[in-house]
Amino acid sequence: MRIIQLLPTLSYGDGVGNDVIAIDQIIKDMGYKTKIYAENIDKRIKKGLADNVEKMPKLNQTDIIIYHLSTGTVLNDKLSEYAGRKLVVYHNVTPAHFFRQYSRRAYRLCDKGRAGVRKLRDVAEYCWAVSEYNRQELLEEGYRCQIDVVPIVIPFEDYAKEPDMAVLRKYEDDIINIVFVGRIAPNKKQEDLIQAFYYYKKYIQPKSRLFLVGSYQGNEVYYERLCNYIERLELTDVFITGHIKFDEILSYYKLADVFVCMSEHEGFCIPLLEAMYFQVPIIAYAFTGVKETLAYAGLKFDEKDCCVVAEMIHMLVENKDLREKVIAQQNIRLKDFTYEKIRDQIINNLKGFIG
Amino acid sequence: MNNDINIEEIMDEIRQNIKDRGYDKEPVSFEQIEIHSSVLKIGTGYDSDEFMNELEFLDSNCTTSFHVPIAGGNPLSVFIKKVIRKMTRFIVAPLVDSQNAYNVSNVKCMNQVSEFISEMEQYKTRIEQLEKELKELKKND
Repeated sequence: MRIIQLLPTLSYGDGVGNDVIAIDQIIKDMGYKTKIYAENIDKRIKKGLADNVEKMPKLNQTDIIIYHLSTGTVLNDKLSEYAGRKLVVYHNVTPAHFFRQYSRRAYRLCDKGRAGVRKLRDVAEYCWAVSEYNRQELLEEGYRCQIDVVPIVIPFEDYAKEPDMAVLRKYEDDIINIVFVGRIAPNKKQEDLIQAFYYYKKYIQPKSRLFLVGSYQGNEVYYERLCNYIERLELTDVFITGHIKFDEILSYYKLADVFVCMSEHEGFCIPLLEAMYFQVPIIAYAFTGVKETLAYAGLKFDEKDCCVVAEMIHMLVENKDLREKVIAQQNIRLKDFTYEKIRDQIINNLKGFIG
Repeated sequence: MNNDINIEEIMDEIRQNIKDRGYDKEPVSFEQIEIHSSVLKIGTGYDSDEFMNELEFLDSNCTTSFHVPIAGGNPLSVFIKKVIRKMTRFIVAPLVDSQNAYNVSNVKCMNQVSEFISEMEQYKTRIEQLEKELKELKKND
């Protein structure tokens, strides 16, 4: 019996890519033959780890395909044609409406992705959802097979690497740094964070900066609108980094005084765990997957009011006791996502599926 | 788990602070910021005026020239720029030519699309007219 993992794009350093590579190692450690197949493979991925889908061998009925569903792709249509038992890992697909005004391509991909979710309900024999929120989405789409919640595997050891010193040197001063890490995308609602920062800077702390760390590739129209918004608010200390190297991302976490997330759609939201790792207190809009990933940790709010967010930032910066308590709770929550815990869950669930 | 942090107390303090600071409730809303790249809008329907405006722009701007005039300023700087242009001509000129060929081809395609849309509009008018006539006939029957 072979276990293969299949996905449209194996990227270097992104959430899905890291999860796939970690699962590959876990399966190998279990003693099974395994391989990753993708339509597109990042050049930085270690040679021999993954092959193009075209090179996928003919499978038989006892083989297992672990299919990672996260976007619109022809693989969503083709999956039913492959022999073998299908385990679908649902990473979530952003609802297309977020992109309606901004990107025809993103809109189409998400729309196609959502259609793929519906299409695969009769193909999947077993599912893993990276959060309970994702599991509920599958149930709403009519999935009848068993669905287990298996959080994404995070390579925490990578975060111990050296941060970029140039970024640290540039911004290491007494100015308050507010950070959000994540693609510049309409569902992440960076405009709300900019508005909260506007209140914070204007009414509370003029010596402050906002870093929006993430790539805007594919969302240039939204990016342009954000830049115009920053200009209209006459804000001078908002920095949108664009795509940056991993060690530079580490630097921004190191610089952060507070991590603020205003996102309105997340399947899981890995940056929350990254902020926890770097001992950065979190303020977040408790919605979709964010609510579940944070659970009891961080300062959360259910209704968006940018003035309230500005005041929350102020409290976490100034109130040392509160800050320490929030970080302490985050540290406890982080322990739910250790590699060992998720690995054991994957092994047990996979053994159950293999039978 | 959340017992250590008194959320109610925090919210009370926040409400009081908001009151004390007298926040300006609506600075500029994000909705007021125009989306400049309106060409990418989805679901807004076909707009013939916008289409023709863009097509006219494409028609009149589809080619560019390698010979950008170098004028004014310091004679030495003009001379150096001319030398640089001459030196890079062998690589830039073919690129400009192929970009122009590509642009012209694109504009031709868009003109074909425009013709097709005009034909469709004529059919649409004709269909509406026939439907009207059919309705009249049914009424008279």
